[in-house]
Amino acid sequence: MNTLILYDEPSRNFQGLSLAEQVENLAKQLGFNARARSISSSMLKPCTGCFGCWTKTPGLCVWVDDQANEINGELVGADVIILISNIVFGCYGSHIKSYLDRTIPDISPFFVKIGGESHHKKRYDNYPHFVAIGYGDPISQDEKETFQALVKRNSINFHSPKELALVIASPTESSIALERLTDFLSQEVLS
Amino acid sequence: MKIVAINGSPKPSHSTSGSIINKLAELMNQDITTYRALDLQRNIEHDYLQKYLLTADVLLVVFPLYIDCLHSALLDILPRLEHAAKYSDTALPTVYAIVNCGLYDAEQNTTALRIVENFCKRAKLTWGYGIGIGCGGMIDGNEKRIIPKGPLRNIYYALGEMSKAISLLQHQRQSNVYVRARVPRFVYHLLGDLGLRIMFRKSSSKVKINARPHSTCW
Repeated sequence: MNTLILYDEPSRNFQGLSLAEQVENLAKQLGFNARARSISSSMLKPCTGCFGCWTKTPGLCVWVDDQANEINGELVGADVIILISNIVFGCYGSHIKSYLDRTIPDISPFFVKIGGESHHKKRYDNYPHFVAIGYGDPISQDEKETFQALVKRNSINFHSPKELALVIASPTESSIALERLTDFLSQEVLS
Repeated sequence: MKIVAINGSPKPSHSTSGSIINKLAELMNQDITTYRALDLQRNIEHDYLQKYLLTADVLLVVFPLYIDCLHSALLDILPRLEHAAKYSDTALPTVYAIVNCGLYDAEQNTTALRIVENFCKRAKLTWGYGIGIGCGGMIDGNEKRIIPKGPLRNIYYALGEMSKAISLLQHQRQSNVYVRARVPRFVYHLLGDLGLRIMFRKSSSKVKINARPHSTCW
């Protein structure tokens, strides 16, 4: 099971915990082929909304001088994607979001109706399971619910078979979240 | 009344968000000073945000739906705006938000509006309300299309209501509004797909529009 872990740099020291390291170790212990990448908005150009990835170089971003296309290749070849991001007002932080903005080439520009709503068609046959781990202190109940709703929406638009949203605001919650991640990977993904 | 807007579109010009701001300015017969999120990112000094954005009576946040939420540049600015608001010694603006998505369903903007509302709570700014717009592709960066007749009339009237609320200083929390063009879903899909095929043909791309450039990277 190829597992791509994308994390922001502050997640390496959240209240003394290295969330990125813990998640990578957990995945490897379960026998997953895990690859972790640090993501920062300074290493990726912001998406400019040109839609060249749909019409000029279909499936590839027109910017070729950063790592977005390379990471996209790993994303569409993965069985599981795990995002680790600080939570900002219930959303991902700008580092992880700067990459997510660049995933538009991974889906088709054409429309399809799914569950009574319009979405974009798949470009590839399969997409990874979608896991997002949000952290921060404090996180309000509204922000937690917004983050969970956002992860659900993302998984629909990415055509992910299954999704999991975890929110961590303290070391105690970190342990609970890692247990839930273990259950998800071993029971939902491997089944 | 001083009204400022953040345009959260990454497009340098002719963005749908920009056209929505222009239409609101026209409906209110009022200047709206607009700052692009990507430009603000480069001028992110605390004093700049305080001087130009937080001294307004109304702050409009207008943006396209990007992966179900806000573009990263806008996400970068809001926490800094929150920080600047903490140290502001003037009355803080009331915030209104307008999100447009290229998909048919206006309700797909719900989460994005919740994020802006959460920002207001954190920054202690008054949240007015938001409009979620579906079928944004039919506006296509041209405010002249938003008129009281035709398929975009719902959007015109929703913007009209918001302009009234702002002009009458009804700066209090109201329910969000979700509107889309009055066209059947299959027609919107058909026209959208056709438009993309035309853009693709004009681009003289050497690969197929359904290309799968990533085989295996593991």
